[in-house]
Amino acid sequence: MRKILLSSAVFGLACAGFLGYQTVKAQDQELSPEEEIRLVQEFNRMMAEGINPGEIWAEMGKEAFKKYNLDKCDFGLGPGKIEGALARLPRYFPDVKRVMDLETRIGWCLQQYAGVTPEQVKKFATQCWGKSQCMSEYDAIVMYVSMASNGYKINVNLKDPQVKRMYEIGKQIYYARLGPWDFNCATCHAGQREVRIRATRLWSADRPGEAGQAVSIFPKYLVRWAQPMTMHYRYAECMRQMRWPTFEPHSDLAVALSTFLYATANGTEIKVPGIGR
Amino acid sequence: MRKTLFLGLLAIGLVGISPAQQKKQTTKKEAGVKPEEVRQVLLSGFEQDPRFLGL
Repeated sequence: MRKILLSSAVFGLACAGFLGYQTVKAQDQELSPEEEIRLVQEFNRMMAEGINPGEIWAEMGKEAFKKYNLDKCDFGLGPGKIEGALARLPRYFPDVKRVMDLETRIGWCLQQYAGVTPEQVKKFATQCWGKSQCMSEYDAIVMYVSMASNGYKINVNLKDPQVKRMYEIGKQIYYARLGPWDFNCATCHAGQREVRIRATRLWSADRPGEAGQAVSIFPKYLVRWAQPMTMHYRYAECMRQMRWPTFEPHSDLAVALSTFLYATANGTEIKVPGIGR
Repeated sequence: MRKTLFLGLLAIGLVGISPAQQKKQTTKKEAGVKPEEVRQVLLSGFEQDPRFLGL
């Protein structure tokens, strides 16, 4: 009963927030600086009270999970078992003879159990990329499965040689300078020196605990876009900002980066969804 | 007597060699990845031809 009341309250507040956002967007031209400040303060208040609109996606994801027969999908703990699954991913799956992270596994299971083609899976996964106020079933499924691991500590098994191999590859890619601007992931997210982009302090893989704080909250709800961002979307955005070629979700590149990041975050408690500017 | 001694020595030999082999294999598996493997994984992750990356 308490759960239903809480869900209804969160849903109601989030709907109100979403409608409010729509109204504000329609009146965007008429907003005074004072009004903008008031809205930012309102957002800060919501954050302080622990209201996260990203939780709406989990409700939607619960339905989509059944709709696409993902209850047959084995995330490493048995078909349909999702509690704590994210904490043990990426892992080696003998059925595909591949290391997979959460999103790659969801993509594969959609092909296996929902009869979706690889092209459709890609379209499904990227339909909200570059948009705002976009609700997709894919994001919802990722949110639902991820939230089932809340409270579990990340525990990527580096004793598995296949996982260890992907970790090493991911680490090398993380520090590989590429593209016209000679950027790598480490340009922003490594070293002891504090790096900022405008007012945002960036996390570093080299400062203890910071990788954990960063990855343990994905998917993360972004207020400026009024929608959540999954880990593969995050990779795609970072690569776009580095002027690398367009990122392919569910690729081995994604899995290698996830393996490096999640293994670096081992021991951190999962708290999904995160919320950010 | 000689047969028992022979079997005993053979058993000791096998027990001794097995962990040594395992250790050798583990060390080999955990060795660093080859640059070609890293390159292949990178190539898997881009929609367009990533030649301009210098790969």
